[in-house]
Amino acid sequence: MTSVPPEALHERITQPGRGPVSMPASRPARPLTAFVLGVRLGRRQLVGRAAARMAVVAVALGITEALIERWAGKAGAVDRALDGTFHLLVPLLTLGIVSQVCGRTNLRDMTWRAARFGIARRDVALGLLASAALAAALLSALTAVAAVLAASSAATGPMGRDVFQSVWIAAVTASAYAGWFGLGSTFFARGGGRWVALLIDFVLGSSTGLAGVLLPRANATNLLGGAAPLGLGQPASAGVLVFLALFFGVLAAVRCRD
Amino acid sequence: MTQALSPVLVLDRLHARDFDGPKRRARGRLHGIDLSLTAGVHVVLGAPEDGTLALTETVSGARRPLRGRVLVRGREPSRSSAIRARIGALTPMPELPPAATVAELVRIALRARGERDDRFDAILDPYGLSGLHARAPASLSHAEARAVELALALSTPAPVLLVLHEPLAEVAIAHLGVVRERIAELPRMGTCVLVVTSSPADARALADRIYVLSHGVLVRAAEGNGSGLVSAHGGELCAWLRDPEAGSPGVRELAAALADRREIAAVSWDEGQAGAPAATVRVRGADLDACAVALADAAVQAGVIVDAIACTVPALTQVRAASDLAMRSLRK
Repeated sequence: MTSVPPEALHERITQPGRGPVSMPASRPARPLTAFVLGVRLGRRQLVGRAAARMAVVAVALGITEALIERWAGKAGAVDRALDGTFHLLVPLLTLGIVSQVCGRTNLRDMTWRAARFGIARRDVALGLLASAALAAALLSALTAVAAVLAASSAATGPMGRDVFQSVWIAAVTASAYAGWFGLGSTFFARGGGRWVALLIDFVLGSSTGLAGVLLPRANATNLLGGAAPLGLGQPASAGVLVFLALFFGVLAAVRCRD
Repeated sequence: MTQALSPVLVLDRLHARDFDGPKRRARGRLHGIDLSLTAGVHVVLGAPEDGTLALTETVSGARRPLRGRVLVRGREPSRSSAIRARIGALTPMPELPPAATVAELVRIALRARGERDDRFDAILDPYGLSGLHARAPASLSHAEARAVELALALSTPAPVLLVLHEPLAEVAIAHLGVVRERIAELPRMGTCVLVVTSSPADARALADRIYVLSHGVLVRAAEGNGSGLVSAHGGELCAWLRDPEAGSPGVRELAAALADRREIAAVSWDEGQAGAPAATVRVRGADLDACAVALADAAVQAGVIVDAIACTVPALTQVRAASDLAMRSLRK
């Protein structure tokens, strides 16, 4: 069954000089073009109800959690609210975004949709993960700000600094998670490895040993004023998070290469 | 000239599987296929259970072989993006880039191929798909999405290889003649067209050569007219007879005349009924040309008017049964 109107078919098909054509071989798209295409594909995957629902649910949960903490005690409510946001909401939100960008399948399989036309899978994968990282950073920052605003009160002091700090910490933490889950998405048939990555982060991520340094959770905890993995300073943990985002992202792209 | 004769597609002991069964189990597998194809239209005839899906996926580069190699002009499509840019593919389940509209989708594909993206209408319009420009890809039916994918495949720049899975079925193109013409035209540019189908009729309509894939193995090859598909030694002709006037000879007389001919191995007939299609006679023989001459002679001898004679197209089940028979006799 076709829904193309028959008159439209006739009109076009009978146009002189509009027969099927083959153009001469063109130069394959450059890596940068492939990367930009990957970003656009990722963005397209995120424009939809599913992604919007995820964002709304994350922000709503952040606010709810903050209100509960505030109700439990105004002193330290912001810290406790951010703790819950960064340890639960940010990883889950980022997992959902990466999953959505990957089309709920393996990252390598997702790259095929563009790579089939002659561009490198690796570059498309990098673009997809960049779009996932950007979206996760923005939404996580939004969730963190919502939590800070909801938990703040006169007793908690000026909130400007808390908002600023939670924004950049959320952005780098979510980027690191995007890389980590992106790497997980290259394993197993439907990208089920990202669930394994989440499990590893939940189980080993709070460690203050070497495992903690190599995973986003412990470094985020350090930035929020918690225990530091291997005694790292906060600037070092911020650097580690940026490094992890790039390292895991590149590693995921390399695993998708042709 | 040398390039036209050198193999475009080489399958070297290819072992592959698909993931299209329930719970991603294999629906079909390929077991060590060796094949070398030059420019031309080559049809692989078989069902998904015979491994046609695995063949399409590995040759197009979507999936790596389990073992063995797929080489297109010496390069593996699953590993070389440069060669993929010159391969057009129509897959069983369309896998197109996500986009807001079909026009944007085509633009993305053109950009990925390194082409100018303002000629997207030149891709779709020749196939009567201009009505899809503004549609959201998610709103396309399966056949419409396949039509867009087919239009993209057939417009591949300087194509080396086209892998088309059922290009004449489940494709929302009203004038399939344009597709057939395009497929026939491509080999003149040195393109190897590999059509994978389960329809012997489509195979005969398109092929220069037909390969029968059975249980993951290429068991037989036949000429493009499909004459050797059912039997390795011949085929079947069908003759449609004009309605005889009362008292004049009919289909039985023709069948009786044919029964004595040495060229004919078997005869069957259908007398037809009032208001039904005309009476038909089917003959089988080793040499179809000789069978046709014998049929014409017998018609003159019996005083019967034959409206048309044509090769019959066997069903896939008949082709597979004949292939199994051939394989069994080979094993003995």
